[in-house]
Amino acid sequence: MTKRLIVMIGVALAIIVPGTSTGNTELMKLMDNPDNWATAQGNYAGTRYSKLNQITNKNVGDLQVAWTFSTGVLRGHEGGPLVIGDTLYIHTPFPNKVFAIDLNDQTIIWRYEPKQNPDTIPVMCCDTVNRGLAYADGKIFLQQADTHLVALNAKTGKMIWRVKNGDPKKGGTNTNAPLVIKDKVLTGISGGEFGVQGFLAAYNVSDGKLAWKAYSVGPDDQTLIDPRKTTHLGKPVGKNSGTNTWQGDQWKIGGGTTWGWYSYDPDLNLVYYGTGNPSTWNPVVRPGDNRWSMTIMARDLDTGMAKWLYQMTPHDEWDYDGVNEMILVDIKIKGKDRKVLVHFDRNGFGYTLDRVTGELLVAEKFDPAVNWATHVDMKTGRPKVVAKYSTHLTGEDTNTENVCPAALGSKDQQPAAFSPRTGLFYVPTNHVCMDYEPFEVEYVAGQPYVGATLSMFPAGRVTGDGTTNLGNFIAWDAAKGKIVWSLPERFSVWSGVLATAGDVVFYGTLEGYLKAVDAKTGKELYKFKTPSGIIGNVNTWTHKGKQYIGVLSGIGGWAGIGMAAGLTKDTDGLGAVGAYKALDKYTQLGGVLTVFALPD
Amino acid sequence: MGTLINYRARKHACALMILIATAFLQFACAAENEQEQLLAQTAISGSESTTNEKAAVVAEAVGQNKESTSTASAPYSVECGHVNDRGQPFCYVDADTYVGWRTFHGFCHVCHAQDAVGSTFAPNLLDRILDFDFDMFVDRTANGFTGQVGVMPPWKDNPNVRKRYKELYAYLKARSSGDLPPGRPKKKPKSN
Repeated sequence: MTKRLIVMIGVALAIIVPGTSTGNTELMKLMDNPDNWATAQGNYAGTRYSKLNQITNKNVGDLQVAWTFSTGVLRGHEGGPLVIGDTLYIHTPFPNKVFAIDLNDQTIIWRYEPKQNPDTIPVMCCDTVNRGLAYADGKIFLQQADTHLVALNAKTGKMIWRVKNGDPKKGGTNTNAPLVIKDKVLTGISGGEFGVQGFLAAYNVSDGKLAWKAYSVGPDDQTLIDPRKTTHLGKPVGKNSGTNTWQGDQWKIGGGTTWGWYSYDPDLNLVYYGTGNPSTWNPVVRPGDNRWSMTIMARDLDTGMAKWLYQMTPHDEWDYDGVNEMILVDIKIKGKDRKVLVHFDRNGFGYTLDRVTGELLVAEKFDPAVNWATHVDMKTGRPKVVAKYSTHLTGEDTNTENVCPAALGSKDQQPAAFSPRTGLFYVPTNHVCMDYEPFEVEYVAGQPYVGATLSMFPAGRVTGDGTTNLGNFIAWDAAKGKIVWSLPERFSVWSGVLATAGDVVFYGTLEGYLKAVDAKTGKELYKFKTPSGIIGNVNTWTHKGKQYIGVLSGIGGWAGIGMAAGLTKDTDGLGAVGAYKALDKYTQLGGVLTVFALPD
Repeated sequence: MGTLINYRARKHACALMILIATAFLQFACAAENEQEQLLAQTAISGSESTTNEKAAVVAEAVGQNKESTSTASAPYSVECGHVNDRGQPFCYVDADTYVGWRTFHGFCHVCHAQDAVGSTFAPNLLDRILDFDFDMFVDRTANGFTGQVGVMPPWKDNPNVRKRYKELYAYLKARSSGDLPPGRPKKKPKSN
């Protein structure tokens, strides 16, 4: 009898378990309801657009702080809160605490603090940031810095399973937010500066078992590339495309890490993401295109097989990682409805591709200062590199000067937003250039493998236009590849953007301001100085029918270092830029979630 | 940083005690001072507020017990006032200092920032290096340590850094002394 009961339960479970795609349907329902903010990017398309419209371009000026929450952690706070029903989940940088907060009274329901080896910290190239959590199936997923992917009970914070995704001793760490699709949780890996072989991995939501793992570089069985079916600009890529543009075994430490954002099109069942820089930063020692670093990838969710690829920066010479977010929208291009993917790359080009086929539709500069390439050849997809900015041509031990953008890109991971009401993309950008000098380095596992010196400074020094701003907040037309308006910002804009149906666009600044601008005109409508510089993403939700806006402040990340660069220089190093002040004049460390609302 | 401030406070306290007390007390304070000096040597400083003044106190104290490298002949040579063909000023440095600059901006700058001015997660080394003689600098760089601001990794396993302690020290001393301004120096041509 008991045995029969167990069998019956077993059968029942067996029926339920494959149905873990309920995680998907549940999650999609949660995402469809704008009362929640159910994934790091708000939705699978990565638009960071909310249908909420209580806060509008007419009343946003009345916005007030509703409540605040200190995370108790210093360091750079990237990412933003998830909201599922009455519960808000917020994460921190290393040691990667998680708090579940009851929105009814802002009390802490549970907290989770992993024990992680502090040796992980120095392996993280650019501060110990974390970009957020994922929710599905009653579980909260945390991708820890030490590469452990953890599933927590969303109600209690108790660990359900934990899986190791990489090896910090070999330079592998994690900063990305995981993404749950169907019965899988997707995550990547950081460590491009340590010679890590990048990959995207899919684990089962139910038990953490690895479903598939697709390397960015390597032989076909590792990259999950079908030489005949996987295409690059419409043509099959051929055999071992992930090794035959590398010398010898160098692909094994070839980089192509995957620490950015992932998007998903449920109709096509394709996952989209970008891969990072090839290792080392010294291009001279790795001749060839170094495929598939710096590449936009479209993969089948169920199998991980690559459908199409597009390498934006073959043979990278500047550290222009291709990991920034892929925004999936349906827009008209030259009068025709197209399913497109829009991507603002570190290399300064805004790309629009057909996301079904991988056809390149638009590739234009989204910062006029960009000078390393004149344009992208629309037939070959290759950038036309300007010889004097080629750090490879200039060679080892020679300084290549005034390259725009700097290694931190015209834009880094800070995600842009899209409003279907205006048809515009809202893009947080850097306006920084650099000198770059490659030199020879030896590879040692777990050690930084950079091989280039960098000096960064405001783009105005190169353009000679007398400007001193290090950032711009722009509105972009992805069909035409044109800037519609551009707001100069003193520092890089390093926060994720939110666009809403109230025709308001929100973003944060490194000085610590949360700003609201008109979606059509860019006119500033509201600003408030939060406790620290903002490198987090602005999210929105409702509670008891009222709309809230939330953002993490907490200066750090590459912005924390990138902005020290150039700013504390003597004025003679910058030209006539006496007005520059170091970022620490404006802000100090410390993580706080600030939540805004209109007065009752 | 905390230790430095403590050291200073205790020094003041000791001075008061010396004014009113016996030789025995003086001895006790001296002993405590020595202990503090040791602590100061191992203290990890925050980047923001280690003033030159405070650091100088420690450097002086350390110098009493150990041979000071800062007062000895400088480990670098810097010659500024040159202007390149684009009208921008630059400095010539000796080969060691140049290699130090390059090594620093290939590895250390990832945390300690361009020109060693520090970031949100690693201290400003212009101040910090004042507390370090060469042996201590090598020890800290080779073996790493957990500090108040962050974690310094051990570099002894990285050949690109391990072979360059002397050069890094020369560069940081040149920067810290104020002799070498921010920016990329040039290696002094051999003919000069």
